[in-house]
Amino acid sequence: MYRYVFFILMMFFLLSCSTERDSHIVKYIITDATTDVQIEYKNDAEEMIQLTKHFASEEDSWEYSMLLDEGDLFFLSARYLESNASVKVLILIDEKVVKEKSSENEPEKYVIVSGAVPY
Amino acid sequence: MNNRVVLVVVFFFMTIITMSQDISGIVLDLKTGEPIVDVSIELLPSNKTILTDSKGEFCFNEVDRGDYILIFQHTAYHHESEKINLLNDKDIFITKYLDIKWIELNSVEICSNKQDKRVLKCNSIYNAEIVEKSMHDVGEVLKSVPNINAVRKGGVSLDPVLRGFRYGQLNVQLNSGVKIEGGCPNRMDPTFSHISPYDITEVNIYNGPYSFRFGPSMGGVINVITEKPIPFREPQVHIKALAGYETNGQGEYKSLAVFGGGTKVFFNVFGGSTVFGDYSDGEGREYNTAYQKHDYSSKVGFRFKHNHEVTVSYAIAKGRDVKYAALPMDERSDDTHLFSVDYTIKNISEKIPLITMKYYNSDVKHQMDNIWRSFSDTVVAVSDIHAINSGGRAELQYTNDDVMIFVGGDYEDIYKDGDRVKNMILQPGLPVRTENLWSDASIKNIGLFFTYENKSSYIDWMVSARIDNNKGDSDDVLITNPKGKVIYEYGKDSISSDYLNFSAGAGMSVELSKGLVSKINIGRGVRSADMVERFITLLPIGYDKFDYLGNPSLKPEINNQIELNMTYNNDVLGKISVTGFYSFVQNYITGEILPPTQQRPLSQGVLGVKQFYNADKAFLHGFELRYLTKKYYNCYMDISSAYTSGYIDATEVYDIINGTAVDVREEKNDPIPELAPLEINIKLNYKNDKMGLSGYISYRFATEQNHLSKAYGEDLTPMFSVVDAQVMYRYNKMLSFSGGVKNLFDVAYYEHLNRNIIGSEHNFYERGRSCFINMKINL
Repeated sequence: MYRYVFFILMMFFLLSCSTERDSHIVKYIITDATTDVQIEYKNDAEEMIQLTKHFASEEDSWEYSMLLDEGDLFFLSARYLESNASVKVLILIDEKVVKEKSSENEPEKYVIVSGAVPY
Repeated sequence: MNNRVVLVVVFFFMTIITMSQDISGIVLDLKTGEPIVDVSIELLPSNKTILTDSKGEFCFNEVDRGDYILIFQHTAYHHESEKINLLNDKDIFITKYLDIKWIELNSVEICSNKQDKRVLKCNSIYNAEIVEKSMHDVGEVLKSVPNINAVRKGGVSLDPVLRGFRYGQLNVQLNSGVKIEGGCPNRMDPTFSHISPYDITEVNIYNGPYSFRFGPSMGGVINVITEKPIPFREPQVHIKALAGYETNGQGEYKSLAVFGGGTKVFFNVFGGSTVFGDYSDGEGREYNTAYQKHDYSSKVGFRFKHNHEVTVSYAIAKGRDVKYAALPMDERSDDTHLFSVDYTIKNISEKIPLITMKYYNSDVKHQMDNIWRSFSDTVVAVSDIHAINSGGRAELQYTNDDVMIFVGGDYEDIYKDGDRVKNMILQPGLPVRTENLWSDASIKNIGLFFTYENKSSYIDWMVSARIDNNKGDSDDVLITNPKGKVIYEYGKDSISSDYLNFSAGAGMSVELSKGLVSKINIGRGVRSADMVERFITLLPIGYDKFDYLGNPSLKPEINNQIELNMTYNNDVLGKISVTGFYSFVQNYITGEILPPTQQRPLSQGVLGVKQFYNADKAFLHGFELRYLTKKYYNCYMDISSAYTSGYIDATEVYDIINGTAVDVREEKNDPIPELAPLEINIKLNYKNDKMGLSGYISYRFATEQNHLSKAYGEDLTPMFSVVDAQVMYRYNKMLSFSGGVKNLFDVAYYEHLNRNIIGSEHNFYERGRSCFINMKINL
């Protein structure tokens, strides 16, 4: 009998060795802009989405959240075409800022933050 | 008239024959169903005694009518008896099963003065050594054999080098014929990385090209044998479990094997897991060496009749987040599925004791990336590779007195395909480039072999030969830059190859005087180029900083090797064995520099491009020495030393100016790269079986390696010495513990075969001091 009890315990022990990947909430944020900003980002379906967003004030922001697995790529770029403008792009993983870049008076320059969800 | 006389005579004799009563039968092992030889059978009250023959059969002829008792006796089995009543004239046939006699012994020491006269020298490592020493990798286990070293690129998956032969020059296999093709071009997943060391019963190593039963053998054969299901007389279940912890790297490992069954169906189910963090060297520097390995296997055996057996095996090996400090990528995931079927027929006749047939299929899905690398800030590269190796073998064993012949054939079909996807993550639009690593590449090898062995009291000798047809093919390969400009292109027409390889070997073992045996082996082993050497497309896979390019037109490499061994065994002094070998390699496969005008590299930070080619000649020579003392006061010493030296007749060396290899010129007698220096091992063992206590303290010394390859830009490796210690205690037959310290004095050292840390000139140091403890349970 003790063999079977031991066997069951050991099976639990071994099955605890999970090889599944964890998922994380990845959030894109664009802020500190006061003009039109061309945004390009990679969504959770791994599609590249392009859009233009008008920012009325520096407090105005654009956000997008998704659930990604470890190792998945995230990508966010922003650019403005007018001079005397600015933009700030951030990427948060599980509410923690992991990438951040900003630009001021650099029209037509792409501000890109990207990477892979760390393992 | 004459016909009538003949008929009467025939009838008369037939009558006599049918009137005679014989008692015949067969004696079988109750548990395994195997025939038992040399069972003493006494027929009472006649007092006639006979022995069973090689097929377990016996026969008492012309026995009179009456009551008899048959007494069956064998030293290894419980005695049995059988009552017989001979009433009529019919012959009697008895099938008798004997039950094996288990004797619990406190201590068993097998001492034999009989010399090991096997012509083919085989070094073996057994499960106990692997488990007790806290070995997590088969490559690490192999390093305990003289003249075997290993290339280290990470914390695990060491790649063996045997007498200077490596990679495709070695025939590495599982369970006598199963091959696994790793996915990574940089060999982060050699065959051993797909096997759990805790599922292994033994590893057999055959040096040189002398025997060809297990496939083409150029530098040697390493055959890993895993646990096999065995039959039991009555249905039963047993458990073997192991759990352990190692301090340096905070490694945990555990395994569980459940085995049992009955006479007809029996099984073995295994699960194992090893999780290690980064280790630190003797000066506290941490290295990217963490890894996770999870292995599962199930094997079921079926026995029908008494001599037919089928074993079906299925195994899954998973690697996760395996870091390689010396490679440009890490293994993100590796999923290996291994399926095999073995069919065995035993004792078909007295002269054919064994026929074996095997089919296998290994399927490796390997994913690696550079996400943990600093340069992943600009490019995230992910490679997905699918490698399949399927094949089989059939062998017939024939024996007649002192002769044993093995004859058979084998087949291997390797397929590989995979891409590297580069995500340019700092470029607008996230452009993605896909490059072929393998493009439906395949190698097919079919071979026929025979081995003839002859044994006598004075001389044993053997000859072995095989012929192989080896074919290689791949789809065309095209690599372009983002603007569409061709960087590398290879057409289908020139990518096929077809070779017929002939290998042969012979050996002799002579007992020169009491205790002194001399062996000589000579052989010619031929092997065709492997996947990497044929089809690799601009990847930095070598010791040096070059992108490598395959060459489908490579001629087969030929190793002509001679080996002489002298072994002296003395009752007082112990056993000493000395082996020397010399190899002359034709068409030695190595790399030559291509001018930048012909081919530009694809990787950043490399010095240029090298393409595999056949150098004319290379030479290797070396020795192995081992001295084993007799046991005094439960102690004995094991001293060994080994060395290999080699050089290539003519190769190319270069100077580096502005990060590019220039001024390429020919160099004569340049040393072969990645050869270990002279090593000396001294091990003092203690073994007290009555107390269940054993242990050892070992000292390993490696000299400075200053025999350096200029063509590969090798650097000098300083000498080092390391001390390990271990104790093992068997509490009872179910529970035992072992523990010890590796690198007791916390020495900071690196092996000559350790690759440098990627992107630097820094050496990759070995693990510093590490303590471990294991607990083993057998139920």
